[in-house]
Amino acid sequence: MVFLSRLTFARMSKHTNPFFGKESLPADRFWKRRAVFMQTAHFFGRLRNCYKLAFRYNLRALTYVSEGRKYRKKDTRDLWDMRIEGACQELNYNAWHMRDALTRSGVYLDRKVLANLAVTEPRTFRAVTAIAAKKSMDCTEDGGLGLRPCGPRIDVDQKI
Amino acid sequence: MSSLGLMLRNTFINKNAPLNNGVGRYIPQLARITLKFCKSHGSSQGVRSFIETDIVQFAQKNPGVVVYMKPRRHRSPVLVAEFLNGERYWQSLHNYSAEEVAGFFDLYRGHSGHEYSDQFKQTYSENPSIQGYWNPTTNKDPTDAQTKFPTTKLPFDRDQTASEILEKIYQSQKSSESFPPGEEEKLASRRQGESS
Repeated sequence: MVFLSRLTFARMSKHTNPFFGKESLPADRFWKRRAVFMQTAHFFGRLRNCYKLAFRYNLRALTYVSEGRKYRKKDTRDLWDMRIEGACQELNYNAWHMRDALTRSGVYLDRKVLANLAVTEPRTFRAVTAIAAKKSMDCTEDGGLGLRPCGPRIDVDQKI
Repeated sequence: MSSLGLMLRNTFINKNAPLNNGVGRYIPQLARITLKFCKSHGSSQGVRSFIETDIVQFAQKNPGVVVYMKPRRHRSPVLVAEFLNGERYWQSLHNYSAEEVAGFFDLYRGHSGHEYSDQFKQTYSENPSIQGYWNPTTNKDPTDAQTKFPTTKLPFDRDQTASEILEKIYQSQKSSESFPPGEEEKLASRRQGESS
């Protein structure tokens, strides 16, 4: 190949040099737009079929997906908290003290597991709440929380 | 490309093998493959070379599958796979090489025929609940159902009232006999607001 100037030589090698060059693929309108339409196939009306709109609203959709990952974690955690609170309320125990009491008792279950137990394994959850309640009712000298009588009517000492 | 973009349905996939195929006995679900191609056009070149080399072998190895070949002039090559549950999968083989065609045959040979779907959850459990799911009666006393009214038993837990606490203290003191002689009668008879 004959290069009449260094500029054209540089431009050519930039795109073809196997080490430093980058392949510049020919721009193809169909395939470029298809990539966007594949992502917007579930949109409504013109946002699905017209490229300019689809591109714009696709950006928003992608942003929402990105930001939503953070909110999903928060929402799931709130859901677990609500479920634990509801289950504890039924057993006459204040869930506010649950984490503290369980940690002091050496039961290191997280919110997710506790919430799942409350739904699928109610008897186990009742036992866990009884452990927490026992620790809550213990006086502070013994390492408890010193609360008034609460929790399900289970004598934990007898069971263990 | 999300599953929504590909128009993939989301389901709870709760079986590793549909119909437990293969647990005892494996029944190939592919019933029929129809191969439509052109005898002369270049787009069918791959299909034609596949037919020359591999198709008889495929048919011999899979006696449960019926292989049809439809030479149609000036038509793009196409594969249609039909399954025992009635599903039909159309696959274009336009300008595909013989290896690619063989690959698609292999794919549909082992396919269950169920619709492709995306999973809601990545986890699956045969028995999600061992003690039974919670329902509103789980933590309730069963004798509540046979309650006859009027009843003295209260339906909810209630803190002790101040009067009850005092009664209890009085009873415990009375039983331990720690009162001087005349005091007991005085306490028993005296009520709030009354003059002795």
